[in-house]
Amino acid sequence: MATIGDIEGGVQDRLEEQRGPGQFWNRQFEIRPLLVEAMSMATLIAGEPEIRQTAMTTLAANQNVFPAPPNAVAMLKIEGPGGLVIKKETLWSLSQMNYLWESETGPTVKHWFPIGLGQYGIYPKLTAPVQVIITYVGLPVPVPASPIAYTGAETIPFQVEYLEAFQEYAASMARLKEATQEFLDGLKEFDRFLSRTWELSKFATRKGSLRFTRSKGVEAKVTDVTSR
Amino acid sequence: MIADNILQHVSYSLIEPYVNTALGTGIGAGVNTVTPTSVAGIYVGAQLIVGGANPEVIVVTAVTPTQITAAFTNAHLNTDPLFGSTFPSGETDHSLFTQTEMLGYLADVQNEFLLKVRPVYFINTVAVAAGIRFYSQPGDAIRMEHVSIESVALRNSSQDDLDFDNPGWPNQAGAVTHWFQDQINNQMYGFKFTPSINDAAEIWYSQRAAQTLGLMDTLLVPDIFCQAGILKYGVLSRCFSKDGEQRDPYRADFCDKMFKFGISLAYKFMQGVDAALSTGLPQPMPTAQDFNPFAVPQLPQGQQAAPTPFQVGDN
Repeated sequence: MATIGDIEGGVQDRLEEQRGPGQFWNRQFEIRPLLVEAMSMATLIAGEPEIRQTAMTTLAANQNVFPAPPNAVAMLKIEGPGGLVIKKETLWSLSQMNYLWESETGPTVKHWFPIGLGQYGIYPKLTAPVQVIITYVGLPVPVPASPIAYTGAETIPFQVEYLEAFQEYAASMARLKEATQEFLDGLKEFDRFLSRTWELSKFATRKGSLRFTRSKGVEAKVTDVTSR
Repeated sequence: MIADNILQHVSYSLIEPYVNTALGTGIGAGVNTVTPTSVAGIYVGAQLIVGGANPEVIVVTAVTPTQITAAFTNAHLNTDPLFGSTFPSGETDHSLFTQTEMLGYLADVQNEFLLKVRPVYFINTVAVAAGIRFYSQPGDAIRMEHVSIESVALRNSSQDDLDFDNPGWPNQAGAVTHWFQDQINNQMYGFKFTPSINDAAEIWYSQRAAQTLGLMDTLLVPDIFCQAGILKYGVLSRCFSKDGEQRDPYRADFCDKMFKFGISLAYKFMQGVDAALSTGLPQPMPTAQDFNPFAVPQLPQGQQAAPTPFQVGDN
């Protein structure tokens, strides 16, 4: 996979800067964060990257609520032992179905539900720890220690078709500090970023297009597989 | 992410120097004078973060061309990083932006985002007293979503519905079955029936952030939204909107649109992955028509845009 260092030169080209540490735009403190910004925007538009854990997560006994995995943006799926499907619910529907759900216990997880983006809950409370595999939308680039200084070695966890879009976004937003006509002239690059990520969000239809509407991504509907 | 991470990116957009150096002198706790690698961007009154094993925020009390003085709570190595968004232009007598001002903008932007997207929830245990029917909702609650007592989920209802079902319920005590928030004082909630014993309730709610921020305070907004620049554009919109030398209605408008665009994306993302705690109530959602990144304000009639280097001198 490509790294930030592989595409930052393209951003500098678009800004008429010599490739290197940068003159008007600092490569490490301005260009690279803008590339990360572009990736994060793409995550919100296209729901990528999806990550299925390789190491199992242990759900402790006697509790309903757990923190999401580190660097998880949104939980998508939890698989129980042996690939057992654990049905996703919402807190509201769980409470409507069974108002005693918080107190009930059992050996296996029957339902899980997200609690915002940072936590999730399970039903019933486990009588003994259980190991599960979690699938989630991941943070494209982990947050480094402060002050923010990306090295350029950060992997870009997107397919290659996204790369030019990221360069276009970074070049467009970098020109914000130029102001006036020079900034306005760069908005065409932002348009190309939106157009490309909209196109790539269509790939999510095979994975689950219920997430995004036409206005900011592909239309929300059942997947092609489901409709067949 | 911490508050300074966002303001760091804001600094670059405003072409404000960002302090990123090393302490330069190993010190113990107390008032110390140190020799950083650079004092550029540092002024009397500036807040800075000293990193290392025991990070802290210091306030500079004296500056010379090579040294700074501050009170340190912790000991630090000479290699410990010294950094922060100080917005030094015009300091100290005619500043364009102050740190307090920028932290205030960031706090406002963060809470606006949390209100509109509600991505963070907290579960708080509160005491329930026998004979007391009304309680104040947690101080950091934006909206209560779920209440349970003794692991029994209470039904969310309204006093109108409860009155219709049983007009005598306010005078009855017993095991609590419902909670409501209508027709009572602001930011309070009530129970049906009046609790007959002392107990504890679990309140699940969308969480608000603090009204003020320090440089090193961890932001409540999840990292993905911070990294996407959403908060940055909210702060920049305010910066370009304020009266003064940096006012720029065009960039203010664009940054405001980017902030709203980010909120719209975040909201849609939350709905798409079912992460919002829903009580079945409809939620408004911005549409594409509310945002067009190219709909920047038109220049007043007769006024021309500043010529670009390409235009100037062309034949």
